[in-house]
Amino acid sequence: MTDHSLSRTGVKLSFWHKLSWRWQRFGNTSVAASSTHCQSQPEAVTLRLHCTVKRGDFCLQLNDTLPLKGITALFGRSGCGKTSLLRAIAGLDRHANAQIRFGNTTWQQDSYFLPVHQRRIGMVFQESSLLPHLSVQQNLLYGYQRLGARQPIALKPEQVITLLELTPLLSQRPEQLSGGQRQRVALGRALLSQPQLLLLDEPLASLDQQSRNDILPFLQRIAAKTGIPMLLVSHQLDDVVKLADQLVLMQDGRIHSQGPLPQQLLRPELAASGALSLLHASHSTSKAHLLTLTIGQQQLQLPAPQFTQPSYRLRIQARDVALSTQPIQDSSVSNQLKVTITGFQPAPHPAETLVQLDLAGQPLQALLTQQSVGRLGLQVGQQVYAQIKAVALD
Amino acid sequence: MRILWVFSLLLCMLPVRASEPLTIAAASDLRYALDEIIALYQNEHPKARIRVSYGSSGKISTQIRHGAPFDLFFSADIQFPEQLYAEGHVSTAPELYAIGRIVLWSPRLDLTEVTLSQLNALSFRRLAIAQPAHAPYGLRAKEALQALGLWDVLEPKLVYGENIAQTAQMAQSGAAEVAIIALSLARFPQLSRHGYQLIPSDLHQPLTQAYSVTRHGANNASAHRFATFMQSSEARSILEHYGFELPARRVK
Amino acid sequence: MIELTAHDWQAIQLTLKLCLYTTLILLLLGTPLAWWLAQGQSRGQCRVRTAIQALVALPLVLPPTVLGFYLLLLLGPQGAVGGTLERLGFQHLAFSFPGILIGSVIYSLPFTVQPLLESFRRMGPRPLEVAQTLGAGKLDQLFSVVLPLCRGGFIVAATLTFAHTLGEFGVILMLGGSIPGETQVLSVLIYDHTEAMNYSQAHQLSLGLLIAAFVVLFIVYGLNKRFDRGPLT
Repeated sequence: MTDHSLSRTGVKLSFWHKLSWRWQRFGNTSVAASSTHCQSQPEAVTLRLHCTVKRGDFCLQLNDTLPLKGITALFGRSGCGKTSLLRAIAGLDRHANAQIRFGNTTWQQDSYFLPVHQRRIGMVFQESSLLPHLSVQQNLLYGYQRLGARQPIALKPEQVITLLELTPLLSQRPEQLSGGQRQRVALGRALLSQPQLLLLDEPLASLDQQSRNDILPFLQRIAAKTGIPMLLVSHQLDDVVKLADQLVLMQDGRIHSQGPLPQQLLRPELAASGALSLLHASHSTSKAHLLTLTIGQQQLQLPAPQFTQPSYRLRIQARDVALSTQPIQDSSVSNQLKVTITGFQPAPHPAETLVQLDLAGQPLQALLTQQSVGRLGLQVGQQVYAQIKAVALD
Repeated sequence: MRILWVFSLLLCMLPVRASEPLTIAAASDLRYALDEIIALYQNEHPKARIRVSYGSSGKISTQIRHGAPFDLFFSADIQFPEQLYAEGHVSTAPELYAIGRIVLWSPRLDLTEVTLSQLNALSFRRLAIAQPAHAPYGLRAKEALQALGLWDVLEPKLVYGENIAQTAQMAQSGAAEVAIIALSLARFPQLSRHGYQLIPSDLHQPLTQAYSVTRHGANNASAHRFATFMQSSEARSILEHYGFELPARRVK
Repeated sequence: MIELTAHDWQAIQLTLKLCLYTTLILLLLGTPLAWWLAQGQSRGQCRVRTAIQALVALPLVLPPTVLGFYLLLLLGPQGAVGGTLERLGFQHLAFSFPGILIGSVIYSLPFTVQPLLESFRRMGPRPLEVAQTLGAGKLDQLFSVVLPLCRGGFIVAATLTFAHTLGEFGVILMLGGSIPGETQVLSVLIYDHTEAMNYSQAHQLSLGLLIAAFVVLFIVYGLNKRFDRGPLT
């Protein structure tokens, strides 16, 4: 009781904080026991945004509703307003006349403005943001210790520490950590504040490729295990395709389009950075280092990864997909799927065309030369065979 | 560090002794004479708390006009308390206590044979006088120099002290070789090692010294008590010792 | 060797009191002021901020006599402030301890605001944004983030203010006169001792002040190095 009111009023003594942590640990065992429930996917929460800001170069014009479920990527060129939008949502920037509504809670409307610290958001910034005067453990618990007494605890410190493999870092100082470790701690700290929404502002941008690859699985794990909706700002399509479920495409301060990632990938705006497709496949069998996946009625065989999962995301570059009107017998390409042509789209190169295909309800793209399309006489609605030369598994 | 803070805090908690003290503002020519008179007074009144602030009479007058909390004002020139009395800043009419004299003084040069009129013949770089604008001794020095027709000649060599004590200090430290200062200061033991040349009093207006109890000190009994003490023979003999000429004793 | 009179001790005590009060008041006033000044160049207020900043720095360049002169006019019995106080039945403030305290506060303002401003700017907005998103309210941010992160700035501000007040002379002389126990601080007393040709006493106090100032500055620079924290890690 008192310990919380103390930390709320800012009279801060580490002694009280330790007490409050203990108290929460013992006092919330029932919540902790039932915390497994949050692994099931919750309903999508909607984020309603209405905002018109125009100031010099800076412009933000929004009148949108974003259904947030899993990871939603805010994608666009740098300077298109992604970070501004994220900061407006968080409440770090206050724009006049903006309206922000998260689920049933109004965050901003007319003169009403819910202060950042009451929004129950978790935020991870692009660059390192650990408080340098606190140890890793103190950083992790900073938000946790400030939770109201009646706030349900879905994620306990032990869980988060395990999830993000932070145990060996706890007693260290922030300056002793590598960039990737710092972002992991920042993620853990945000999670422990029991957010209803995680805002990630290019959390990987300042990291080298190795560290990025180290962090990605953690982000996936968080999305899968906590069910907390995440809004991820990124200008790296690679990261987005590996992580996101939805993609919001931003251009010049506006939301250009939004929707499930596989469908969004068909947009010509994205084709410029290398057209690719995303397929969801479920695990069937794995035998002799070979993994068999099922998409609809059809099967796909790939070299088995180290760990198997019940389902996979397959990233397929459009240029790795070949088409034939008849099944090909004598080919080294073993993955051949029956697909239907749904449309044609110009490719960045004038000699090429992107052929859009349907595979058991999932979109797939193939990059062919105009000449091949003409030679095969491909038409919308036609059933063809897609030979898939390379697949990246996530 | 912390101990230092605590220490200084404690120091500051101690009350600055302030049991209705008597605050005197006095012209700088009184610096040594008045200190002795106060010491004498405190022998007779051991509980009396007296603090003195010395300065030029003009500066003190301005301070009194701006509300400085002085109880008693000893001026080197009666003109200042008279003006303050007319304005209502002092509560008693100015009372004469001494006539001051100016002297030519130098710690470097032997002046015993040199009169002011011969000053021009001496080789020196700087002559210090008090600021004539607000220090009566400075004004009298200027009058004397003017009377001898030396003002225009010597003006380039003049340096001005903020008050007469500072003027003496300027010469004593060697910053100026010669100074025109108060006789009362030249009589101070530390300075009297060096000779001085009394400047004839007919060369300038008299330095009629007078005091008044200020409006601030009107109800301060010790202000009146000390003012009375100034008329005592003990006080008068000290003033006399410092070279002040004394007015006729007040008839009680 | 050191033989200080009661008069000297009184001045030392008064000086410490003045320094301490000035420092405490300035930390209370200077912190929000420096904070406000440190807030980014948010449009519109920009010019007001610049003006205030210039105003704060004014005592650095103005002769103390200018400030002393105006304060004397303002706080004296005929002044707007002093006169109002008199009419309300209070004492006016010229030639009094509260008067020189006001003078010191104004005169040392840049020495509090500048280091604080510097350390707030160095800290940048990010740590507070982080704290906000983690549920820390305004006051909580002040105690859990600003104070620990800008500790060096606060220590430097406090010591510099203290030390600068220690060395103040012009404003106090003009505004306070030289009343023992009330406005006669060490620097004024040294002036007075010199005028009275009490060189040994002037020397003792001067040397003491010199050493004290050196020690204070030595501590400041030492601490400054120790609390030198880089940006967020």
